[in-house]
Amino acid sequence: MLLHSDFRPKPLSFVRSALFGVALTVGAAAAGAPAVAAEQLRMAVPSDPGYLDPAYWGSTVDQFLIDNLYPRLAKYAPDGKEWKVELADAKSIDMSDPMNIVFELKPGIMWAGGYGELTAEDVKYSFERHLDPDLESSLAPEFSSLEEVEVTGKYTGIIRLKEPSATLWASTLVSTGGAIISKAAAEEADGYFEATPVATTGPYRLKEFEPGNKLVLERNPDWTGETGDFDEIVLLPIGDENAAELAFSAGEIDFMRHSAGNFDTLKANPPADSEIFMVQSIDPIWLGITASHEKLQDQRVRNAIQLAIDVPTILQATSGGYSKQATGIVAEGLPGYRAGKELKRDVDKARELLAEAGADGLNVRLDYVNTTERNTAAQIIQANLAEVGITLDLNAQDEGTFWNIDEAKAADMQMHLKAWTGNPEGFYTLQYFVGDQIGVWNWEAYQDDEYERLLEEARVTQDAAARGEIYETMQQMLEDSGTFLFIAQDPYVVVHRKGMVPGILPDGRPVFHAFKKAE
Amino acid sequence: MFAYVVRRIGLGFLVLILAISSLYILVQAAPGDPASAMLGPRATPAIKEAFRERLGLDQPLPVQIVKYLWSVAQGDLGTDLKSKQPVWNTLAIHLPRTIELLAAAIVIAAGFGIPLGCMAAVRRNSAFDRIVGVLSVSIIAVPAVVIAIYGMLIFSAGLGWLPAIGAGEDGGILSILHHLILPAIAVGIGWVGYLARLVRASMIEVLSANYIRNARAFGLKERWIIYRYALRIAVAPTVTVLGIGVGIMLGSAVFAEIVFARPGIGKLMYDAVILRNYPVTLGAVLAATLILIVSTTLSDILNAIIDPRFKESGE
Amino acid sequence: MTQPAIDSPAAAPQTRGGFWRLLRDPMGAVGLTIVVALILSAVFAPWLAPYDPAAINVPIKLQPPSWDHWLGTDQLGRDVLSRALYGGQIALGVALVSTCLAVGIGMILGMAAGFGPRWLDNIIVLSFDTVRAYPVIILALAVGPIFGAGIVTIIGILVATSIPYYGRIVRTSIISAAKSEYVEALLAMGMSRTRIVVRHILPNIIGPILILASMDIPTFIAAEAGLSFLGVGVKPPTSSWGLILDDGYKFIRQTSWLVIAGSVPLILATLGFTFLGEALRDTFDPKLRKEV
Repeated sequence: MLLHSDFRPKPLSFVRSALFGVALTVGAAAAGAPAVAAEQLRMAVPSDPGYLDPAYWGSTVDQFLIDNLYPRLAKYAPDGKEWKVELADAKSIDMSDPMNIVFELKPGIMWAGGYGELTAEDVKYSFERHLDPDLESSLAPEFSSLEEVEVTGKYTGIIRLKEPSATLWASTLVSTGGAIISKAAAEEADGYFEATPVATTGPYRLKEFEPGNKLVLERNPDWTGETGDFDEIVLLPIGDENAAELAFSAGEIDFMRHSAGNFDTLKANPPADSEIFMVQSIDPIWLGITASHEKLQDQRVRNAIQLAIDVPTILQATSGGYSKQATGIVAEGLPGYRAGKELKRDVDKARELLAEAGADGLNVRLDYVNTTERNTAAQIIQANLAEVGITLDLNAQDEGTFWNIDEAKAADMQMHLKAWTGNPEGFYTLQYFVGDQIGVWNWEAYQDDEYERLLEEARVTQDAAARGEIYETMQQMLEDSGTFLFIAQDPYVVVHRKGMVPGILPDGRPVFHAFKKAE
Repeated sequence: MFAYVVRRIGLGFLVLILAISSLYILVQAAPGDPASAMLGPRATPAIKEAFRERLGLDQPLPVQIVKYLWSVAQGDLGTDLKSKQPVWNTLAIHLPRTIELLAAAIVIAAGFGIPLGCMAAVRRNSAFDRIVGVLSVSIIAVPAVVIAIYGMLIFSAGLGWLPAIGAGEDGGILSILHHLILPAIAVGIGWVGYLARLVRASMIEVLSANYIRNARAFGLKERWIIYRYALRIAVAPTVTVLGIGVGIMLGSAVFAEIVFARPGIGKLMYDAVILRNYPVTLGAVLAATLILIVSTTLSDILNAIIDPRFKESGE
Repeated sequence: MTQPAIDSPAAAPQTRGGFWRLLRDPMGAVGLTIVVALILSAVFAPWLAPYDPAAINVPIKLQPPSWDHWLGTDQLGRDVLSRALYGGQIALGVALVSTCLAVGIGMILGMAAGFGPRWLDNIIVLSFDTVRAYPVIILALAVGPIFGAGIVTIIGILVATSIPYYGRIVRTSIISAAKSEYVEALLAMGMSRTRIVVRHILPNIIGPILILASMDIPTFIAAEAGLSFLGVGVKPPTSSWGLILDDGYKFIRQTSWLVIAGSVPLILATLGFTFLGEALRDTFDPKLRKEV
């Protein structure tokens, strides 16, 4: 029983998407603040939640809330140092057969709002709905190796796979994609819901949501499991990391996580009563250059853009030199990392390529989320491209707008700067750069048959190291095509008030109930 | 007179309707589909269609405008696309924060501006008068955003005396007042100078008026004359100006709300515009207009109370 | 509203004396000095600026003032003094262009309303009132993103919201002038309305309008900075005082120099123009004073 030895987690896991190198700030009861706040854990987050349906989630805040409010079979432990999967709402998991994952839920886990008990039917509904073409779940690719979930009892069932995919469990089911929703509640909402979760379980439940102002979670009286030290969790939407830092030093926030750019100055000039440390993430940041856009169709133009940009300078400006230039989607130390393949800047070559392509007076647009860090990076890219005669129009957007994409926007994608939440399994980011995902998550409009063949090969390769080799080739292809300029895997700075022990994952992401008051 | 009032009010309504309609057109003309923007990345075409139908976005623009005006007339501002609550509920969270900010700003402006102007008028052409004169012109010239940022730089980030973000609405009245200080100064301080000049000018006029001369001739104490009679009359134009000035203060409030991450109409509007949450955008502009109307009316009433001459001429 | 006397003789001979009177007013002298200095620094920014305002030099980011960088550097290691000098071009440029357009269009519409047919007058006045119903910054926020951030959008918003102000003044002046015996006499003599407006009314109202306009310049400068600060205005790599201020706000815990560098020129500019405007008004048209 228990966790099969085969899937001992590598450092980190999370589904692709929105994680932005922004301040995610978590607050705890303000030390020295009025007594009312003593039981509150206040957290500044980059934005309001948008979609709390696991099928559509997009932003970091969506992810936080889905991870903290919905049950899952297993999840990463809030260990803070090591990525470790532990059982969550499942009593046991048997993975001895790679084609059939057998699970048993803990009895007595109640859905808030009178939707009864968490059952195997909910699991079946939650996972299989991603395969429903009408739902157009953005997680459909992740669940593509799922055959069905067979319910064998009130609490028991078998997750049947189409092929021996080693990655469905390790990277999807234990993270955001594995969120289980209440079948009864979802059906009542016609299967579609947005910023209001249908029914939740767990130590906290939604108390109030004032968009643009705050979102408050309170203790769930029906919860019998492990619970946190704080009565309320308050999420404050503060999009900019510097604003969050200011709020922290003004005593308004007591836990925050943001880009490492200010690490030196923070260390030198720490806010009162704070503890500061750095965490490593495997969240890849890259510049996407959309191959299908008429201005960028010529591969020489895209390669020229790659060569014109000064990545080390961007890193120095945005993360104070604490991050290393990335060579791909996969972070250092994981299978598939391309050691020593950092792209070198070559302005002359870039000019040459542009001249060959006859691209004079090119004017392109760069989309990015409006944070200080991205703005800084974008302005450097703008200056770099100006050197080779490309005019860059900066289009800073709010996080919600940036991540929402429709047909019109997909057709008008030019260049964008973004980070995805990393995953130790390279597959889970790499699987999105296929033809079917153009206009969905493949904003780069990258398409290559050989790449898709390699992807299928990786899916059924059981050996992690062998998969890693395939990933290296795939990332090389992405880079050569000129559609991807890999920038970094960002480190983050965590700042928290003294007198508390933050409950965080190894990359500093908060697990609400694991925050403890220090004795 | 009655006909004039009716005509004036009618014109006001017409302007309001035109203002709402033109804003509706502008907001709807924005590129991008509110359905996609609000429903998120993977909403199916059917869901988007249902959304458009529900909001009446599939109808011709004039029909949409008439429908919107009609529902506004019935007190329905539509649904906040984000929270799925009536726009009224969203406004109910933010509007009081802006109103308290404006009220605090007015208290600061009047509390400092009127005494300064009064003293300057009494000591006309003294050094004090000249200093107030230069200062008042100077303070008017400093943009609210600059004052807000300096307030934050010095008192929040630097000294840590005053809060940097929020409105402190969870911490009771003291917390709310504490959070109000810096934003209210940012919005109100420019008006200190303005009011001082205004009060000074009208005070000088009043002090030279016949009945004040008469009062002096009757041997009333100078101090009594100034504070009991002259000031009351001299303050009247201040009230009118503040009533109209609320429109400008609303603009300053936007900066104060953004710099101090304070909930309020300005911040609400800023967020709503970015997210294409147009029922909220329209609702917020409506609310701002409403604040303007209410404040001008209030200033007229106050004027009548303060300055008896005003009442007489009104009768 | 002002109703400048229509029969006053042309003011040209007074101008020279007026200029000296303006300089004798301490406020006028200070204002004029600041304004002239600002205009010169903006015009000669390419020669005065020690560095390219867009030149990035990350290793020296966020430095305090030094001999090399008199106002320090920003988060990209750009020279803040150079950025502030170039920011002056934007601030003054936006303010002057907006003022000219607003006054120009406002005068045309105001004249059309004041001297045109009744229905045209009603339409124009109604649209003026409609525009004035919106608080400027709130309108800019609602409309700015629709047209996309940029100088043109800022100027558009500033012009659109100030036209009614000038338009109404011109309209009122013309209506009252039209009633004057002088104009009635001219009409009786068979002179065309257009000719009367252009030859006899306009020259008399243009002075006061220009003085009022000069007093509006600080508002425009502040609005440009404010809107750029909000992200609805000027976009990088263009430099603007509002953008420097925005950087300063973002890095307020790291350095206060950016806030100072963004705000001091802004305050100087608004002060200078306010002083100058006040002094101009007091010197050339004291009657206007009552309006404020």
